[in-house]
Amino acid sequence: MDDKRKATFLVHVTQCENAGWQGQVTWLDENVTRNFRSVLELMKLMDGVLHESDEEISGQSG
Amino acid sequence: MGIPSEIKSVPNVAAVCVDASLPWKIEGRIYHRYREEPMYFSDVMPVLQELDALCDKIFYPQATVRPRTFGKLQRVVQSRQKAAPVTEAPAVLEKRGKQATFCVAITSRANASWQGKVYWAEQERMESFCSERELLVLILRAVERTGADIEKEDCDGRQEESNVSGTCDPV
Repeated sequence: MDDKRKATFLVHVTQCENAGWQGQVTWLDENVTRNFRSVLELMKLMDGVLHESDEEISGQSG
Repeated sequence: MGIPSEIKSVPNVAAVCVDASLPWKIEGRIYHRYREEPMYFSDVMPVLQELDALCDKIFYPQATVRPRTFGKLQRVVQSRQKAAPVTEAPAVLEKRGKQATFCVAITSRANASWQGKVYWAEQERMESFCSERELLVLILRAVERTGADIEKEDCDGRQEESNVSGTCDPV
């Protein structure tokens, strides 16, 4: 785990339903986009990049 | 008035004890029934992580959607064994923060979010929240008010001590 990992994200909030935010977040360093359904999910997506190892992110198939 | 039963009876009830705050930032400790030692936090993100991990650990409330990640495969991290409590709810709910204490009970996790109730112990006030964002806003606004009150009390105290009339300088 690399605690000093840095990343850049582009966050696009498209809706504000259910007292939260929904939209797309793009991890610009890898050019990968995911939809998020809440602020919690957005934060967990970004935190996953910052605190998971390269193998955990890129070593998965599918 | 004591802590309402709809807070006390929820298995994942947690005491979020705020010891210090800056605008939109809080520091403190979290206590819950599945942790012997407090978890110290210095920002809001660890609070969200701890409470979400607690719900995952005890399977209550179950998340209604699968977690999303930036990995190519949607990875599901779920322990197979339900955690056992190490303390009782009254022991958790007696903890107090230096600035404010919020007893949080998450009762559902729909829409990749949280729904439940939060009880502000010092003010004996309960509010419902429909998302984790709403919970955070409730806590941060309450702490902001508390901070303003403390600042005012400090200021008033200094004025009384010095017996000087005039405007109150910000701290």
